Amino acid sequence: MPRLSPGREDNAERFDRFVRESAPLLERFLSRLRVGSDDVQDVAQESIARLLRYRDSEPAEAWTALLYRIAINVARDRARRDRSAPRGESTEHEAIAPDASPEQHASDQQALARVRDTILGLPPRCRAVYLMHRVEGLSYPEIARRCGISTKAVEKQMSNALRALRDARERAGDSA
Amino acid sequence: MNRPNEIARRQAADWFARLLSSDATGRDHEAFERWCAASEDNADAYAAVAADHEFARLLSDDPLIAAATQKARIAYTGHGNAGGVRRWASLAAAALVVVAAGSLGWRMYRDKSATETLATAVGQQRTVALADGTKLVLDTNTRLDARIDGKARELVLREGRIDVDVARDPRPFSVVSGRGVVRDIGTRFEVERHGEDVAVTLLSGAVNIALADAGEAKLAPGQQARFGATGGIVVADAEAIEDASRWTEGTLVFKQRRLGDLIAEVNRYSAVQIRLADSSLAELRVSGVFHVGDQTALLEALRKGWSISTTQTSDHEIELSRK
Repeated sequence: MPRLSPGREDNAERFDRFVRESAPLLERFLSRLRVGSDDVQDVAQESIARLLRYRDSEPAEAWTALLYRIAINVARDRARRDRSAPRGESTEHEAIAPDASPEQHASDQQALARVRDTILGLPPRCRAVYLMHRVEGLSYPEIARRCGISTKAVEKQMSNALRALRDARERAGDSA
Repeated sequence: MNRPNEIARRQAADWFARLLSSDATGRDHEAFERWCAASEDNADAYAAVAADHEFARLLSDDPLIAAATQKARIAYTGHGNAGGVRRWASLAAAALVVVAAGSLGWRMYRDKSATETLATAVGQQRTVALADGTKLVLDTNTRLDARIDGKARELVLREGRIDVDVARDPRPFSVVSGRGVVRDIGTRFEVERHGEDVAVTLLSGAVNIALADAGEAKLAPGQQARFGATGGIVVADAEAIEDASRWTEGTLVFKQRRLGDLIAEVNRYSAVQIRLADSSLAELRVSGVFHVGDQTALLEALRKGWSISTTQTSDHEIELSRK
């Protein structure tokens, strides 16, 4: 099957194009989150800079969903800082920080074990769909074809898996 | 956990799953943004769901996750009734080839009598029911052939460990491993093989073990027989028989075991190998119950309970040393 995306485009070029195309979307989103108009540019820039970390590890289809997540966190951080709470606390919903302390690393390891056990405990089809997407990087239509279900059903299974991960985190009392 | 949060969580998962889809539209983005801006709970719930998903990527190399992915890949190969008729039309030729290859494979499989090869990857465990109803549990990194025909039932263990719960059946049941053959008389037993070294542990019933050239032995429940490339069969009472089969439930039980032995055991389940920097550590006695593949919990226990420090020296090695 020929891919619809421009085949020879380098990932870096693709990312640059993504950034250009999503700038208006991002700014609109930030003003909806009630980020002051003076700050929108800054927050947008910082969000893009953070997204860059994921450029080569996450598929391009996921960049938008990720960018929304990052933008929410950056906006929250900034609001907290503006309320001049001089706590060193950083983003609440960040995935593993690259420069984590040993304590942070240990709790990350625990969280990883929990995420792993949750995935392994999912119903078989749900687990298969989630792993095909997350580990193998397959798109919804590809997964749909393999499992013999509709892309809408793939989306539903993805949502179920994501909710199970979230519920497990909640049960572990680790709301961060 | 209150209600609004639960609703926000469910909707957040739905939204994130939608946005990951390659067919998410501008209208979806618009609707999502409105939902997100509607309450802080919504935005928070979304960020949390997304963070969990990003986190899960770090597990790509985890042996159990890799094994489950492999299993999913095998279980869902695309022969099902796919949605999208147009897509099927364009794929028709390719599908025909796949179906043809598939049925050819099936015929070859049938012709080779009924020998089936069963295997697990490092870190994987698997339960299999054979055609006669016998239940097998395969431990990590195990390979065996199973053949059941009109006259006999035979397993050939090439490597690894199996737990066998033999179904009642008039056909004799045997396990060939290394130089020996285990013949069963209605039983549950385990066979473990690493290279030419074989251990047979009897949990219930009775088995007879025969070597090609060096005699035989009969085991009573709770006994263990060992034999290698040379010499005879050595029979002894198995250590802590009540814990012997806990591995089939994914649990490893150690009671006053040498740390050296314990590490060798847990290393069989993981691509990341633990190494002792100081060989005197091997003689340390350790007790505990660990989940198969949960290296993290083991290392944590060693750090806290035995004053051992752990250092990740490379992607696939962790070194233990005295604090």
